[in-house]
Amino acid sequence: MLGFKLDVPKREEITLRPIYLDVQATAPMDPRVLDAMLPYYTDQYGNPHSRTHAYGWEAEAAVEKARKHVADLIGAEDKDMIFTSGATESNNMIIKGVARFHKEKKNHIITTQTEHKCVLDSCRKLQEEGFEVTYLPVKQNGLVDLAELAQAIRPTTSLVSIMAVNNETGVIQPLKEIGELVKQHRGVYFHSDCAQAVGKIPIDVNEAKLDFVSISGHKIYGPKGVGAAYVRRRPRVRLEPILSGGGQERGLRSGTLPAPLIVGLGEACRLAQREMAADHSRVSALSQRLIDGITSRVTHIVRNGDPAGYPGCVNLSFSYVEGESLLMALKDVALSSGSACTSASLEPSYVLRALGAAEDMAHSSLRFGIGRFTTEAEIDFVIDRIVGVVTKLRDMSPLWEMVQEGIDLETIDWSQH
Amino acid sequence: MNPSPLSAEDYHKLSDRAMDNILESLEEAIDAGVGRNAEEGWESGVLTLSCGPHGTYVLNKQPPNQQIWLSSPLSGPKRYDYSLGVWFYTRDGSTLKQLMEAELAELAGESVGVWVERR
Repeated sequence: MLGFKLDVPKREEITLRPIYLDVQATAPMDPRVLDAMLPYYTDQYGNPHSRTHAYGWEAEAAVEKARKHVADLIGAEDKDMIFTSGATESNNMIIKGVARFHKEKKNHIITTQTEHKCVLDSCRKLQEEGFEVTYLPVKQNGLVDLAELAQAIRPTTSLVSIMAVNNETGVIQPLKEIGELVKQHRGVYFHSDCAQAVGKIPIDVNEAKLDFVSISGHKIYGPKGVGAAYVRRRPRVRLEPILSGGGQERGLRSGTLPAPLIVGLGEACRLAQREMAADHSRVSALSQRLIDGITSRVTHIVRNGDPAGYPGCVNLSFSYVEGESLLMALKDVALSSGSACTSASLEPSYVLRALGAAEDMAHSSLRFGIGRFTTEAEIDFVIDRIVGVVTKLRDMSPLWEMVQEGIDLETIDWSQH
Repeated sequence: MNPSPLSAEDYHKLSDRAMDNILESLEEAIDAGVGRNAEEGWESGVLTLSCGPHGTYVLNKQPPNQQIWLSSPLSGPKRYDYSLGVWFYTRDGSTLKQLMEAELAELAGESVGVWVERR
């Protein structure tokens, strides 16, 4: 069928791979999504913008079908969806685009301190251009204070950007209430980075009065390198595009659409809508099992973020245990400490700091990600490993010894080197 | 009568502004409920207005001729040139604004404001 001989190196032996509990960083692609994509790589490989032949027409048809699937998942019209390379691009496009379009009359943006780096960095870039940005603090449970948000809105505010589900703590923001509040102010647009929320909890752009939404493919068992932006058409919201070119995607995002990736995103969304309730109850049960399993055998654990957040993201701090040693000792479990995007630096998680976690607690946090393909056996294995490692590390810890003896660590006057 | 040529930069600025104003006019009209089942589209530099059973309007820039081209389901094709501040059809001097407003009013059964050169 291929027309040439395929040289595949032989797998030496089956080596066990770590248990994957890092779904907030990325998720495995659902095999059904892969099945949907493959023909568009090898057989129906046309450019969806080619107007003169069947290869183009069938690719375009597939893209438009996928567009409808993505739109349906958030209660939008298919024409409202713009395909991008991912949520980072969508966030950049929306935040910078809205701010710049309205800059004559409006120069203020509101966001929160716990947003993803691409949102915070886009806002910082806009500050360099002369915009004013309010970074709202969050309460200790990670939720935005609605009264503070109301206070922060000015006549010169053009955009409020608040993420739906936080990627580090799983905290779910009250989008409906925020949308109600924002709509009381004419000319203020509401954007939500829903990369971790779409397909996991119900999102409805009309119920939440959202004008913009960012979507990521690889967080919902779809392909990496593709995402979408919801840009409301009724009533129309305007933004200045970042990419110039042939004017594709309503002129908002020029560039050839990657048909196979888009087909994958569409299929991932279609499956997510169909299986959301079932996935949610499975993930909730596993999440409770994990939390109960660990906290029943280990003391001095703090759960970071609202316990009523998304169950598939559990962030726990283990007192008197250093985070890096925890991770080093857990080589057979794939976990993250803080967000994947900051893993290259040694800075403690800014999200946990915004929740008021002390620096040492932020450093000793672990993020457990539970997804569609996580099994009960994996959770039980992880519980045992965590309990074992934390107990062992605490046995070696002089701080833990002092706490056991009843010494209040706050009273100690530590001296520097 | 042949209009004197514009600089490439001026042509693009003026024609982009015209296309943008027309798109905004159509969106506002449709948002306000004018015209049942009317749907505006803007893709790869081509502006469309589908009017259900009446047919579809297509508008696009034609840079080599420095024109805006129109296809009307009622009156067929026209090519618009820019001179003295307006986009007009050289054969009869009618403006793009006049044609759009007249024809859309006929289809919608009520007056429709269409901005072309300026709001």
